[in-house]
Amino acid sequence: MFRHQSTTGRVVSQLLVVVLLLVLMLPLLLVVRESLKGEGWRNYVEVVADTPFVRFFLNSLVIAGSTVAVVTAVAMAAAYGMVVLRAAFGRTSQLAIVAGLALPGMALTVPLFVTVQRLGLFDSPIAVILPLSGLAVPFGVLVARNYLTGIPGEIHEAARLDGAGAWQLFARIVVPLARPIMAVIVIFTFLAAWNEYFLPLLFLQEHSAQVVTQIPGYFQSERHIDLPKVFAANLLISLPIVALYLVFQRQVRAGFLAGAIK
Amino acid sequence: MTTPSQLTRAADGPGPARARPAGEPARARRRHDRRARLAGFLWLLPALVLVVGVVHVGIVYNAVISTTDWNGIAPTRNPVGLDNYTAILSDDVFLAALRNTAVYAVAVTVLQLGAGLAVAVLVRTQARGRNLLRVLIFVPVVLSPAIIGTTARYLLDQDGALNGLLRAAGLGDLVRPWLADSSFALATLVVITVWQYTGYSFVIYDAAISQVDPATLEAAQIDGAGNLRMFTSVVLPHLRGAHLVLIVLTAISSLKTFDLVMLTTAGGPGTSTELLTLHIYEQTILRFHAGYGAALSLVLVAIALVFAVLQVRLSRLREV
Repeated sequence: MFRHQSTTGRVVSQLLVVVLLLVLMLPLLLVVRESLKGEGWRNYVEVVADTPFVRFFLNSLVIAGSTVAVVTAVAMAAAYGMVVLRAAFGRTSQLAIVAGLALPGMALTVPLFVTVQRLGLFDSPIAVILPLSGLAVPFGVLVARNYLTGIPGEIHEAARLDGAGAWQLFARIVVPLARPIMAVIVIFTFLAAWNEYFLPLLFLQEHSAQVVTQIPGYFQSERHIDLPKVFAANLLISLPIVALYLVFQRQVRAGFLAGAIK
Repeated sequence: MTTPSQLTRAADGPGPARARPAGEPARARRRHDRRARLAGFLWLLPALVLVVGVVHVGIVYNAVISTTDWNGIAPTRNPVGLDNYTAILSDDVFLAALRNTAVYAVAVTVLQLGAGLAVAVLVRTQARGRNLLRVLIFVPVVLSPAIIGTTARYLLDQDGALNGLLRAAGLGDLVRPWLADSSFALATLVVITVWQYTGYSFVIYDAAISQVDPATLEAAQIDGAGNLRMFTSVVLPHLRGAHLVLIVLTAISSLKTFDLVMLTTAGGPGTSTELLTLHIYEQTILRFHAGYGAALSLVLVAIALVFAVLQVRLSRLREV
């Protein structure tokens, strides 16, 4: 678009690109350098071998995986009920669900804490999965509903005339058509759950139950802070998510775009 | 003017005007419809139960607890009426948190939108490295704020790596404990946030700019418009929707910010980086003021509700 530039314009834009690349890379380079202080690469080995690092990882996978499954399933079902089956109380339900759209989890500290305490759910993944799901469902319902509204009604009508029941219509017609928006819900929910810090901070106190965002805290709770290991751990935690982004770049960006405007 | 897409959408919509299969008795059809609509309600019930159970019940519970002096643990609690709410008005930490949250949200929004738009323009020039920039700018967006927070806390320390670089570059005058200096801490948090999320505003602007009609651009070019002129009079007018979406979404995510601040400054020094979310956490969890924390939570709920309404309205516009 701005291919034909004056010499000044070309120099300025080239300079800006270089500065931006530096600003983006600099923290990474500093973290790598800091993480190698002391025992060098052994820091990485020790982080994985001498701490419950793998355990934290598996816990995060369980929590993020369950949250994604719950949110995608209930959001798709709800959108299907509202748009295609034109469910009774559809408008009211939609309003009630979408009202939670911008709510910070923090505003539920008191009720969540009391509930988890009463039910003895401390250190149980459910204490994190359920509130996370409840907070993620409004977004899922909003985007899924808007997406299904855009699918021509003739498609459902034709399937129904062919004798398809509600379940077949959902599984064979609606879900395959809605794959793009399901990908959006999966990406958003997974990132939100994987990166969540507040709910695990409140409810997961045993090391055996904790998740990846609590690993830096693990090194600080020891008598002294082992800085190189904090940096090494932070890099190791971030690698898989960055790798996933690089592999699914197009889908992730399309997901964020659709999430913003759908 | 009615566009073809609007016509089809109108025809697809629900309503009595919808064509029915001919030859079916109307009454049986209506009864069947009512039963189908009730069955449809079962499909949306799980989502409704989950959201009502977590969000609505939680908010009502907050409202009940907010009229007591409960500490969150003791078996007894005494009614105090609206005392917790009147206490909020004279709570200096709350007022500081409200001001900081607003300053943080506005600063992050302005800088993040500006930077995102600049990058969206830069990747359309001939500058080398533009494709690498396109990929790298989004990497921080997927990272956990908790990880960014702990990393920043040590990199930006008085003896941290950034100050080390500044000293080595002969810029020793700039050296300071970035997150522990009350006149720089909030600004430093703004910069960290903008660093992390500019990729997000870039993606939105990038999509909006790529929807600008190439023919219009070409015509402008033939008319002798320079790049600056082309940007201000052809591209910029197309970005109104993108600005709106980004302003609402950035404000919402600023309101939710907790991890980054908790793990870097924890609201300090003093109250210079105290945010609403941190204040609730401190009062409820660290000081056992559950009644007061519940009242603060309801204030946050009210603010969040305004933004939820804005986001839903924007999602209906369906344009960037």
